[in-house]
Amino acid sequence: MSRASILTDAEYNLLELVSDCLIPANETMPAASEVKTHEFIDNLIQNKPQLRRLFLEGIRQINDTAFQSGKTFDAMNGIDRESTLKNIEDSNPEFFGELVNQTYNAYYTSPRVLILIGKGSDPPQPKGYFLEKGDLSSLEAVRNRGQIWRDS
Amino acid sequence: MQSQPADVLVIGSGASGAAFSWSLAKAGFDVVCLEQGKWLNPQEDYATTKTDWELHRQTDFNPNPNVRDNISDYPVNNSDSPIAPLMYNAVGGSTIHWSAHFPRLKPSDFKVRTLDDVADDWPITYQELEPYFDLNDRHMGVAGLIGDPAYPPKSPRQTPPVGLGKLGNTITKGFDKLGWHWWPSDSAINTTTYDGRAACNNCGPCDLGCTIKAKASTDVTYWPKAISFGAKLVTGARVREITVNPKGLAKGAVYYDKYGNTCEQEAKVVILACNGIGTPRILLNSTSPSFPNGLANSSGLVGKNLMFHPYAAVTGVFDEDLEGHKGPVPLNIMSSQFYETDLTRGFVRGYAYQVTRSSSPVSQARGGYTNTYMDWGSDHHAKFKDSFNKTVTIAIIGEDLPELNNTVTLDPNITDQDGIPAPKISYRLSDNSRKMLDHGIATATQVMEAAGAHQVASDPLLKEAGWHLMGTTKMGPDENNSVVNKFGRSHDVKNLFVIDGSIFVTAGAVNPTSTIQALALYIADYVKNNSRDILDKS
Repeated sequence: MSRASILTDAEYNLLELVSDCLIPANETMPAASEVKTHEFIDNLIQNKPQLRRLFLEGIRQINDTAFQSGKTFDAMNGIDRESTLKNIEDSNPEFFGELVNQTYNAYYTSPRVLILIGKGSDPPQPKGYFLEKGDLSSLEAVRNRGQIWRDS
Repeated sequence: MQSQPADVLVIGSGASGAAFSWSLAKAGFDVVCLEQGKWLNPQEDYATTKTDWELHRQTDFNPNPNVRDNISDYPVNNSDSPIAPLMYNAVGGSTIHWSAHFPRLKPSDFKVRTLDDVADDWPITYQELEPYFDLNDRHMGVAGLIGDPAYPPKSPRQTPPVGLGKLGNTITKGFDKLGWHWWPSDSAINTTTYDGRAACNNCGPCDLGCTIKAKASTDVTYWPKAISFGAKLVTGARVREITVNPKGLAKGAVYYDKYGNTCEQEAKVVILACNGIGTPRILLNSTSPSFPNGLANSSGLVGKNLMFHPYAAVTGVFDEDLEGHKGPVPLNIMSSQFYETDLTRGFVRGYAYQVTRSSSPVSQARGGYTNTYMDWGSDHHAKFKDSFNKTVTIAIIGEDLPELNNTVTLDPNITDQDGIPAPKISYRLSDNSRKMLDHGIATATQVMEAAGAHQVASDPLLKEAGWHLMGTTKMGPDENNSVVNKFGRSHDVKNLFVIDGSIFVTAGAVNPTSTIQALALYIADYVKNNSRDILDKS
C-alpha cells in the first residue's frame, strides 16, 4: 500500500475495522469504510498534531486491550470487537468521543451517504430549496384571542 | 503610528457600530471605525457552496471564539460559566453568523421595576424607540407579518414572512390545539429581493454566513452605504485601550494593526460598539491615574450585571419526514404565550419560544439539540433514520435578570495574540431563571405532544448558546447605579458613548439585535443633535 500516512499499515487497517464497528453496513447503507471514513481520519491527523497524538495513543490502546483478551482485534468476532470498543469508550472517553465524532463527520459528508438518507449530495448553495409558505389560516384565531402584550 | 484625528471614532463594526457609523457619516461627520476582523467575501469565504460545509461549524465557523480561534478572535475564559459566550469577529461582527431573528423588545421590558418590582426600569420607553425600530427595519429589511397580538401595532414589514414548510405546518398544529399564541416572527432575511439584495433561497445554514446576501449582516446592509458617505473602516485593528486627555475626556484609542504595529487614532468622540464582553474588556483595560479602576467606572458597574438569555431546548421526533432541512434553520415562529409575568407560575417575568428546523446530517448524528451523540454500532442506521428530518426543536429563551455577581473581568493570565488581557466570565444561573426554563420545558413538551411527536427529549440549559451579551455597562439616570445615561453617554467621560448590548438595563426574552440597532440609531441622533456640546468641547 502506498500512502502518505502517519499510521502504519497495521494501524490503518485497525482503524478501518474499528470504523465498521461504529457504522456497519445494513441493507441500504454502506459501512463506514466503504466511504473511507478511516482515510478521512488518517488525513486529518496528519495536519493536526494534537489529534494525531490522541489517535495514535487511542489506536494503540485498542490493540493492547484486544491483546489482553488473548486475540488481536482483527481475529475477534463482532461481539468481542464491540466489547473491546465499549471498554475503550469507558476508559478513554476523550479519544473515543473524537473517534466517533470524526467518523460521523466523514460519513455524513459523503455524497453517497447524503443521497441515501434523502438529503441529496448538493451543498446548500447555490441551488437552495423550494419551501412552501405554509398554512397561516389559524393566525386569525390567534389574533381574535386579543392582545397579550402588557401595556406599560 | 498616528492617523489624522477624526470627528467620531467607532470601535467595532457589528450590528450597532455599522448603524451608528452610517447615521453619522450620512450627516457629514468624519467617521473612523476600527474593526479587529476583516472583510469576508460571501462567495468565497462562506462554506455553504462546499461539500464539507457542515464541518465548518466545528472549525473556522464555530460560533465559540475559543473553538474557532481565528486570527481575528480573542480568547474568552468561560470556565466559570455554564453558558459559553458566542460571537464573530469580522466586518459585520456577529451579524455574520447570526440567525437573523429580529423581534423587538416589548413595552413591558422597559418597565420591569414599575410593573414587577424587579431590577430597574429603562430610562427610555418602547414608544421613544419605535421610530428607530422602523428606521432600522428599513435598512436591514425585515420579513414578517403585522397584526401580532403580542406587540403593539407595527409598520408594514419589508418582505413577507419566512415560509413555514411542512415542518412549520406540523408544529403550529400543536399551538393551535392548545389555543396558545404563535406568530411568524420578524426576521432580517429577504424573502423577496429588497434594497438591492437577493431573496433567500431557503438553503438552510444561516449560521455559516449568507452567500447570496439575503440575510442582513451589516457588511452588506449598512456598511456599503456608510462607506459611500465617507466613513472609513479600518480592519485588522484590535483596540487595546481608550486614552484620555488631561481634562479627563476620551482622546482616542490605541490599537494594534494587522502587522502588530502600535497605532493611535484620535477623535472628538469615542463610541464603543464591541458587544457585552468586548466593551467592558476595553474599558477595564483603559486604566490611568485619573481612572485607576478602568474608564467610565466610577460606579464600579463596568463588567457587572452580565446577562445572557439562558436557553433550554425541547426536541420532538415525528413519524413523518418533515423536510426539516429546507428553509432557514430558525423557523422564525415565535410564541409569546408565557412572555409576560404571571406569578402563579412560580417565577417573575417570562420566556418566549423560538422554533427551529431539523438538524443537518452531521449535527443530527452528533445529537442535534439534545446534545447526546447518536448510538454507534448495529443500531446506528435505524436510529438515524428514525430522527433525521423528523425533528422539531423549541428553544426556550428566558429573561435573565441582572445580578452583580455575573461579571466580565480581565483574566490575569490569558491574553490575545497582541498581549491584551482576555475577558473572564463568571456567571451563575439564578433560581428564577431555572424555574422559568423548567416551566418552559414542561409547556414546550405539551406543544410537541399536541403536534403529534412520538418522542420528546430536552436539554435543560444549552451551553453553547451565549449568543446575547448584555448589561455590562448599564444605562440609567443615577451615576452611582449605572455606567451611561439614557443616550449611552458615560456619566464620567462626557465624550464617550456605549451603543451595544452592554447598555441594556434588562434583557427581555427575545433576541436583542433589533433593539441594539434601534438604540444605536437613537444615540446617533442625540450625538448629531448635540454635536456642538459633545464634539467641540473635547
